[in-house]
Amino acid sequence: MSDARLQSFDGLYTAHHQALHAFFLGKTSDAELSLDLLQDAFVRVWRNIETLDGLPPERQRAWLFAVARNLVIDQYRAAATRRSTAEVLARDALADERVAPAPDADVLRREQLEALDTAIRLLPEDLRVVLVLQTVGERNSTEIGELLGRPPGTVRYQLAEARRRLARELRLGGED
Amino acid sequence: MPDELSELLTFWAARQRLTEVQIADIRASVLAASGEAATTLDADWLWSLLRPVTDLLEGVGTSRALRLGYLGSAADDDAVPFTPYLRLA
Repeated sequence: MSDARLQSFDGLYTAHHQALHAFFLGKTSDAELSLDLLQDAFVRVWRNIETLDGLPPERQRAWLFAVARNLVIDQYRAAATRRSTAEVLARDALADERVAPAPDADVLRREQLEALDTAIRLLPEDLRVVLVLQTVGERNSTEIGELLGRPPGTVRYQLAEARRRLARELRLGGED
Repeated sequence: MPDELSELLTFWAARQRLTEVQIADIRASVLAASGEAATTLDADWLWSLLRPVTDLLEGVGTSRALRLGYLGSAADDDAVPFTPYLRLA
């Protein structure tokens, strides 16, 4: 074990775990799966830490998100071939638990949050990923553009479009 | 002024984010999965390994209690017929 290796890993983990988690969540709409994918991504980081250590931050980030995209693609393939009905049901049950009442949420707010959760799941993937990166990942449109290889203007348009669709779905005013 | 959707999204997003415990757990799992479990040693875990030794050092009362417990149970056992594990022919 090397302290320098661990320090490099911790630096990358601290800098990127939130955005990567948001990326996986946006891609899959699955909280449990996102955790698994996040772990897989950082296992790959650990295995390649010497290589990553020599790269500038923007290339480290590009490497990480390339790995993340591949993990999601692998997951789609695997899901298409071997996901059973039972797994889907179990996952849906977990998702239901995740939107279980928060201590400080009243019934109306809880219903709104459940409706919002469903509406976000139903967004087209491109829109959902940018929205989740912005809200959960706390990244701005420029940063999201860098992560996804899209111009910031496109990201801003997609964010606005995602919010328009959510407002329409939830019948909220002020978004149209 | 934040609109209703922004407010809902903020609340929703806060519930999706990883907790500090999850962040620490995933890091530990990655290191363990990478064969680096030794890097995740924490003080409590290390201390638990040393308990047999530290018990002897600090635990006069503990040892005494154990001894008394043993004697007590031995006295109670007098009423139970002795059953050897091995029976010689």
